[in-house]
Amino acid sequence: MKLERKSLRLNWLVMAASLIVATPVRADVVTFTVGEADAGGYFPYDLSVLDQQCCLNIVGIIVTHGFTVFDLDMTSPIGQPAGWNYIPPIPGSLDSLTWYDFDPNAAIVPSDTPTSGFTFESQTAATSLKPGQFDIKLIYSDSSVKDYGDPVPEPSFIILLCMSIVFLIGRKYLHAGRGTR
Amino acid sequence: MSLLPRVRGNWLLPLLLLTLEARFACAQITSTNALVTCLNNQKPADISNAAMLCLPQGCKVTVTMSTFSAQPACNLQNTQLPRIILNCPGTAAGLRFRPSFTLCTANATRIEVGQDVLPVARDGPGNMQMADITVPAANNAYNLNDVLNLMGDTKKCNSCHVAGPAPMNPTDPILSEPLDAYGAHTQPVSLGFAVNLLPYVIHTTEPNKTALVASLPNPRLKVNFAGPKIAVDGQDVNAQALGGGAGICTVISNTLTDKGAMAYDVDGMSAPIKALCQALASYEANQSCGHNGPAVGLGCHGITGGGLFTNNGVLSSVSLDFSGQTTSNDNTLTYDANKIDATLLAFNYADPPGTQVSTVVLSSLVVQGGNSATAMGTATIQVGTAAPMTNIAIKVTISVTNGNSSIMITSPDGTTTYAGGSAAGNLFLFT
Repeated sequence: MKLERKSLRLNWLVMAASLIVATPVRADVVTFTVGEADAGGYFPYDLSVLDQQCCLNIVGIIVTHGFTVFDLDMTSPIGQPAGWNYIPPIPGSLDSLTWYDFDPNAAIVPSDTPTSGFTFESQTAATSLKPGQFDIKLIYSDSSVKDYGDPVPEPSFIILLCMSIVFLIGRKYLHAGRGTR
Repeated sequence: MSLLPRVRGNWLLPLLLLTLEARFACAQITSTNALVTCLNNQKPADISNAAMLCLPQGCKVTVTMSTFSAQPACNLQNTQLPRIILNCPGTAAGLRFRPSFTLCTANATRIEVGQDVLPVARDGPGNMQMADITVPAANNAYNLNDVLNLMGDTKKCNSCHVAGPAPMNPTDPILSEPLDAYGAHTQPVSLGFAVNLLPYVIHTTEPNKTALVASLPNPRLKVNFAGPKIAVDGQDVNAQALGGGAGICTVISNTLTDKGAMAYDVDGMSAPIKALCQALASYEANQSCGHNGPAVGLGCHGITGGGLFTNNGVLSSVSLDFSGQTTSNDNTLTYDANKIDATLLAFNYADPPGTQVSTVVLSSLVVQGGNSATAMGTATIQVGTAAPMTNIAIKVTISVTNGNSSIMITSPDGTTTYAGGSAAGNLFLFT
């Protein structure tokens, strides 16, 4: 029984460590979801941004490779929360998609609630993205810029959590089986 | 008169006058009304004559195999028979005039026309009047109201183009939104979903655009809803110009020689596609943006790019795309006044509140040394959520030197800065 408890504690530690690894070691969190492709093969992307950095609002979000990775341009359906607007990429000369907050009341303020609704459609499947391709920069109200890197796909967090729970239950079942043998 | 003593021979003066007259006549065609007037005056024998006689000088040319149009491209006899879309100066600065043709037999006797009535603002309402002109018309008589797309979508333009706001006067032409031939996400109404038109472009003279199918910098762009390769009528789409030894006109000519005059006829329909192709190839070589017959010193240039800039610690995001016909003098390129094809979007993050710059209309643009430019024009300026201020006079200065870029969007006297700053890297491309 002692061994089992020890093993259980170890498992919880493994799960906690997994979650820490899954969560970016940054003050702010950018996640995204992707829906099913439509008839034209375009996947709907939706970014969420959580400002956890004390005292600075997020007033701009840049998808660094808007054209070269996602084929976005002036004709792309790009959406944003109220009070925000965007500057689309220009194929061949301006790669970035930029969302900016023109209404000071719509800035992303430090809180525990993410702001979603930064959307675009692309024929690029999220599963085909390589590390560094979905590069995000955040612009703060003091005109500083932070290179955030790749946002986290939201389902992966849930899948990781589920996998850890399944692993725990499996281990417990295995130990229980050994105990009764 | 000072020219006269220098002219040797009596034949040179009429030639000079004829050349000037031709340029003057072409320069007048910036609207559907002017095109109809030209057709009535010239009475072209067929569509190729219309292309020779009634196209304005200075248009940029896009050749695309897009089939997403009532005037679609097609492939017959292993020949690419594309759409040819002209992007010409309109009736005023900030307005464009867009006649287009197709070499595909079934629709090759029509000119589709788009005429801007207001500058294109991003996410703005449709602002293009459209027309459909069959050439030659009965008795070679063209009536404006017969060719315009009027209330009730009489020419069915809105089968592909999104309808704009209803006109104030029911007898006025209805408005439609332009479809971008280079759009990565263009949504023809009839299709019901978006398609990527970029890989269909097989040739272009637009200074800031690329026929992506030619260079294939990004093979992923060849993927569309129809499959992994762009194909039209079962044939792969390939880069190809109208003129030249390997051009489309040569292929058509060779096919007609090999297979007979009816080689491209479809269901009993025929069209003078060889003559039309040659007329449009000749237009591109001699009358399109940067070409005007024997005139020297003309060019077709552009500036494009943007990014994140800093001015006194304040950030701005900027995106611009300027192009047009130029006259060169030493190290200076002067764009044709009021004919500049311009898009500029900028946001100054000064907090609070920021300033947006949009709907830019340029009246002048001068480039010095190939790496610095000054433009004058107007823009819509919006500070925070305040009401947008329209037609505000602006000055745009751009430079790229020693690996650094800068742009400033200011009032003409420079006392008010709307957006801009400097940044590391070559963020603007002077073409």
